[in-house]
Amino acid sequence: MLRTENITSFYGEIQALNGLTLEARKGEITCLLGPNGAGKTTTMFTIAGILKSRTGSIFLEDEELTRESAQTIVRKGIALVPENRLIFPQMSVEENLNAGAFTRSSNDPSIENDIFKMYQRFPPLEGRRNQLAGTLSGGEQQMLAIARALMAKPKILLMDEPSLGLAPLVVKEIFSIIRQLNEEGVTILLVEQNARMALKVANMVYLLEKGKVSFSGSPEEIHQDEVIKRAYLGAEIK
Amino acid sequence: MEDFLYEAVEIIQTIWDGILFGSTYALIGIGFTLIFGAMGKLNMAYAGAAIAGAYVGLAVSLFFDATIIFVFAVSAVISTLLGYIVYQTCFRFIPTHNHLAALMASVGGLFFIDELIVLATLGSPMNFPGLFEDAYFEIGPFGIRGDLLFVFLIGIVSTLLLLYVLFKTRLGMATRAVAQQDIAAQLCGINIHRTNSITFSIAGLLGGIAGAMTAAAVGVLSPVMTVPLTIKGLIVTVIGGLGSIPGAIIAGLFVGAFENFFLYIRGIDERDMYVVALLFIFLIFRPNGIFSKTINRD
Repeated sequence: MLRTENITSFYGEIQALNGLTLEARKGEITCLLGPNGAGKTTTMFTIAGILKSRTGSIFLEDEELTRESAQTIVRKGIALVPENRLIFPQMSVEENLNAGAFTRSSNDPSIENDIFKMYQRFPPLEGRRNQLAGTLSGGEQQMLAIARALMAKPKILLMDEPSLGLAPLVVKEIFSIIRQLNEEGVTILLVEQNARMALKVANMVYLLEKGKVSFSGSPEEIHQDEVIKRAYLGAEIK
Repeated sequence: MEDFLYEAVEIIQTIWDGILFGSTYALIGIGFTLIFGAMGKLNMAYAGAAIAGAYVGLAVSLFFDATIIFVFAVSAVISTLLGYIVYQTCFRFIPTHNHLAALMASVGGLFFIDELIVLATLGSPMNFPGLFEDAYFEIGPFGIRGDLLFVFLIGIVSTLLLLYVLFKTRLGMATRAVAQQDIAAQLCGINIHRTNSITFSIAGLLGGIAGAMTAAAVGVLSPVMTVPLTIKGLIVTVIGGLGSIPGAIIAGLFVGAFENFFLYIRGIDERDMYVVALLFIFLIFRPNGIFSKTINRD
């Protein structure tokens, strides 16, 4: 569904991606794992059009999006839940959701209906619909960021470290949301530091190192590889 | 006793006139704060563009014998255009994180506009038409000047319109989104450059109205007005809290009252000294202004 071929991205003169190729298949959860600085967030930003790749190409269902701007890419069906959530702090929860639907026509009657659906999916948000988003707890902000991305009606949802900085119980909740979304047919590309949780939900895993894919395979294949298992999961895991 | 009463009435009258005139500062302050809120940058060319707009409005009235409302409208349109041009020339192509470069580019913009005005008018001041200059309302011992009241009402209407656009329209939502989280705004499908150029244009519109208001209240237009108006606008923006619209409104009215009070007790020579002293006091004791922004968890 989503493919990147040999992409290279830079921050100024610093190269962050070095010929990265990966694919996220329809209906699956594809997971990117890797140490800090491996290029996971850069990959997400490059796919979403915030950063531009100097080489290679990015395809969504055979349509090339490599040179498109961020606002075009979200219209084509790729929505990113960014690292650190990046909600609009001085807007209410409901305004955040409306902003998520910016790509849709403002008199689209289904927007209101979709906001209602988001409140059903994320009940804590409904009670705080008129509250400023900056005052929400970390977990609530993460739910809001996911809901905001879903308001764009994406074909594929990119999620960058949705568990970052959250309490273990909240992390569990976020992962059950990810699993539930996937069961409803949403294709997901997930970046995670929490390898254990990620391997439980992923269909396909890419390990990134120094801006490149160093390994790819199913979670079972990772469990069979002693070296990788020790590096990413610790030795005691069975 | 009678002297004291007379003095008290005069001072209240002075402060009241100052508040009415302060609406021009409030509008200029809102423009600065709007752009700062959107980009985190100061547009130093802003008040210059406002005065330039007023000049074009005046020129039109000289050639076509236009009504004052028409002069205001032309002034607003020209400043809107200048706001857009300033964005394209001084901000659009300068790297986002180079704040000093954008600042200096807009200072250049200010002096460029200044020179254009001097070139076109040969540097001499020109009379600007007021409205309701003869109108005078008396409330007990106090009086309200018709021209100042007119300026004040225009200021209120413009502010209300701006708040409506910012909080009730799709365009306003895009503007606030870019101001609060520009990366997330892009991820929501909002075009940052388009939104910023619209923000500059809206600020320019307010500036044009403020420029014409200032000229109408003072009665003259002169190229030497641009720099002082820039400085007053910046002072209002700092006192109000960078990025805060309610802050800019209150600070604008306050600075208007403050300077008129010192004009009354110390005279025109010393007036601006006290206004700048006020800025220092705020920078030391309340550097975030009257309204510091709501604290975000992250």
